[in-house]
Amino acid sequence: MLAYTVRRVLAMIPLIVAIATITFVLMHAVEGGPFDSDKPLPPATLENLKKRYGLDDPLPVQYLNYLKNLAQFDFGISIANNRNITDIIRERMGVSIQLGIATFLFATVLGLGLGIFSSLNQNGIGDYAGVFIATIGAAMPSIVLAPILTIVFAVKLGWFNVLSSDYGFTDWFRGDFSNWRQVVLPTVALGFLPMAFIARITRASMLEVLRQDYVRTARAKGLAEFAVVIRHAARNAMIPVLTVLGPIFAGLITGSLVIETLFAIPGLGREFVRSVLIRDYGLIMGVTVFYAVVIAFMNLVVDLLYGFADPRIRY
Amino acid sequence: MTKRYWRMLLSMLAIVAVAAAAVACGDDDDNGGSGGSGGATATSPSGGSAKPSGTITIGATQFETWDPHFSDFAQDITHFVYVWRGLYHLDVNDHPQPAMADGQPQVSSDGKTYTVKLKKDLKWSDGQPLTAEDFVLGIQRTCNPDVAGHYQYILTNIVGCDDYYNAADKSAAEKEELRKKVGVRAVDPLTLEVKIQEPQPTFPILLALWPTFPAPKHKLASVDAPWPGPMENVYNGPFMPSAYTEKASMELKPNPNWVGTPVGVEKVVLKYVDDPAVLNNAYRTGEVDATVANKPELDKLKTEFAKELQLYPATRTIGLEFNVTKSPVDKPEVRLALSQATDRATLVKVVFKDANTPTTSWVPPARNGLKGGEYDSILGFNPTKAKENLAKAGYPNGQGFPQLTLLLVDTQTNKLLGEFLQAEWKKHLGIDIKLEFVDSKTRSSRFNSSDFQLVTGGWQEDYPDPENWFLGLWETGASLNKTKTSVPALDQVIEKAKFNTNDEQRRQLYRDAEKILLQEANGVAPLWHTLAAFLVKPHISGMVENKRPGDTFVPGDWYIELWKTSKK
Repeated sequence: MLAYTVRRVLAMIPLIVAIATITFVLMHAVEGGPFDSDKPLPPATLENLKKRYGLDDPLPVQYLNYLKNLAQFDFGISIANNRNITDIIRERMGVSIQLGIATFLFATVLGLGLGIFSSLNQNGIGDYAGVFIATIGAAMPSIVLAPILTIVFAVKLGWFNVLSSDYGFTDWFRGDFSNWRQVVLPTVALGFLPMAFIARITRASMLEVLRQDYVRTARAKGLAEFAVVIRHAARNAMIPVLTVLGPIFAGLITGSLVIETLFAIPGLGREFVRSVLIRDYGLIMGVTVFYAVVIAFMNLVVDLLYGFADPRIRY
Repeated sequence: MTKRYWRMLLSMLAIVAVAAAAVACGDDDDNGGSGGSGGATATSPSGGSAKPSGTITIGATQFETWDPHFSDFAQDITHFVYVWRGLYHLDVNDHPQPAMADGQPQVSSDGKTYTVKLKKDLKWSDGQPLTAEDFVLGIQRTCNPDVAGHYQYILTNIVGCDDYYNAADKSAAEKEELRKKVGVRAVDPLTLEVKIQEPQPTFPILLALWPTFPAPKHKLASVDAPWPGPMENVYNGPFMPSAYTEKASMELKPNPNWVGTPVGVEKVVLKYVDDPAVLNNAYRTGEVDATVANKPELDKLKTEFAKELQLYPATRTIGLEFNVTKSPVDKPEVRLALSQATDRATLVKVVFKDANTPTTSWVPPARNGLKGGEYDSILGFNPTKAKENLAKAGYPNGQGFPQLTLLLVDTQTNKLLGEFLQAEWKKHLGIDIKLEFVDSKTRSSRFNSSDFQLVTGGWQEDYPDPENWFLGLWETGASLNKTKTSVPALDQVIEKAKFNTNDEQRRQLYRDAEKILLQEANGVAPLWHTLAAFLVKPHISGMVENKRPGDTFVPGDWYIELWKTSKK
């Protein structure tokens, strides 16, 4: 398994170079550059700016420079605010990871619970209720759900805050829970869709597994229903669920544009979209490459986890 | 293995697709990109020096850079005037009043040398002395080609500033020589001398703006040294940052070494929020005390917050901008026809819910001493005249009218605007125009390379003087003249006005220039002046607009020292 892991990690290198190359080409193919503003800049200023950010070199030279710096883990400087891109990603990432993990826990725990509950009550009232919630979640994207939650629970009822600029849990470990009014709505708004998705897959997978011979055998030999469901059925039903959990987790921790914008959370998703809109070349490249690494890594983790869920899988 | 690669690639493509979809949503174009200036230190209305108390939290936009000698973003400039001040500060009537300077500048008889005395014992927020050297360094930074400041062009009259700025490719030694030749020096620690090439009546205004703000010499090893960030820098304005989280918030506390009107509040908190709709919800729950109003909701806000909603005319004009070298808008009659076939009052009502003011003037009335409406008879709504003009251009009832494309930034409001104009011109002129929606950088790129026939666009004032509405914008071949406007008479009037030291004559010449510009819609047919809309809680006082509202976050951005709250 170690050899397998090393092989997979090494295989990421060409993948990342390919992604960096494609991004570089696409980015420069798009019309408009970082210094095209509403108010045109005088030619002398444009020249000086291009020089300051190394954009006066021919594109192939810029490309090679970029790869050279990338090899040294140097993402360069943001054109928009002159800050080191590595610093920007690190700061933004911290918040997005916390939002991602909290949302992931919310979605997974509720999703699995709802899915298992539904499957055990197939075609009963409980099942319909579960399926109903899952369908709502799937049908209502966060861009719709977030403003509804804000208006009902923050503006009308006053239970939570509209702005979540202090989102995070690091203070909680020091016993400071003062931002609790800021963490609930973004987590629920972002987590509802993956929760619904996980619930549906869990339900379907459980229904299939519960009909298997070994479950009948387990029941026949008199095991408690809890042991049958959790130890025998749920564990096997987890394989398709695990497959989706990896990408869901990667998607959640890399930030959500919509939720971060609507709750004013200083995360990476907001930064990424903005970098494209303002043509901040260095930041676009930095965040894309970073996302590529995270996703490749999450895929690897999921592949390794299969081995734990199903001992028959060997590497 | 290959299958796994495919899966990874597919996940990547999914991410790219999601990002692309998000990008396609576009951003709002009307919330200002660049420019903005003005403001004033009015003397404190109460004049008292009561102890500052209370906290005011406002909605704000994250700044791009913290460097006043580099940036041209409105939200950056708003931050700058909270924490730094120049030699002068503009008062409510836009006259420069002494801030760091001790009295008005002495001007030599030829009008080319300005000598400014500083107030005694000025200190930066860290207690270090603030001297004339710091102002020298500030101006040199703006002229420094390696800083590449966006606003260098307003200092182009300072001796040697352009030579230095255009020396990007020269050696370090040559640049150093040119830096020393920039016409600004410290005669002694309390005396600054600036030499300009031509007498410029508006020059004192420039000494009140961010490109001439001081730079702390004790913090910068050289003119090339990087500008320290918010928590590492030092300040000479009313407030200074006490906490800062990028994209989340900034807290400001009073600067102990501030020498102007004593500040009224203990703390100002800026919350960085991208979406005005979100800010308005935060205003409803009391999470912010003052903020911009979300204009698409204006109808609702007018009843919901009848007493708290404040509307001010902003010094921004938007109109139809024509590339006068491209058919069919190279014909003056076509430009006039399009302008006369546009019912501005209905447009502003339908598209903007009256959140802007219809106009036919280029320079906002507040700026040039006119009443407004002077050009209604030339450019205003008049379908009969519009038809006549189109016929004169050779397209009676729109027959044979060539393809005309209106380029717009892809936003909800612009969709309405584009469709309104399209329908209007179909109805009154019988022509079909094409709409092209692109993202804001693409629109700017096309505009800046004059690759368009027709756009909606205009100007946001940098500093409060009519010259700012003409210089560099409308002269033949001028650097910001992207409509390719070229009218010899206009060139002559602007040239005569440019360094005219007779103020009344100068202002009259700019009024003449506006007439020449608009009589054949030579490049622009103005449609509206924007209104700035804010929500301010009743417990706040002292948030006052001046006559040149360049305010970005709340009314009175340029007078943060006057803000007060009665909330404990």
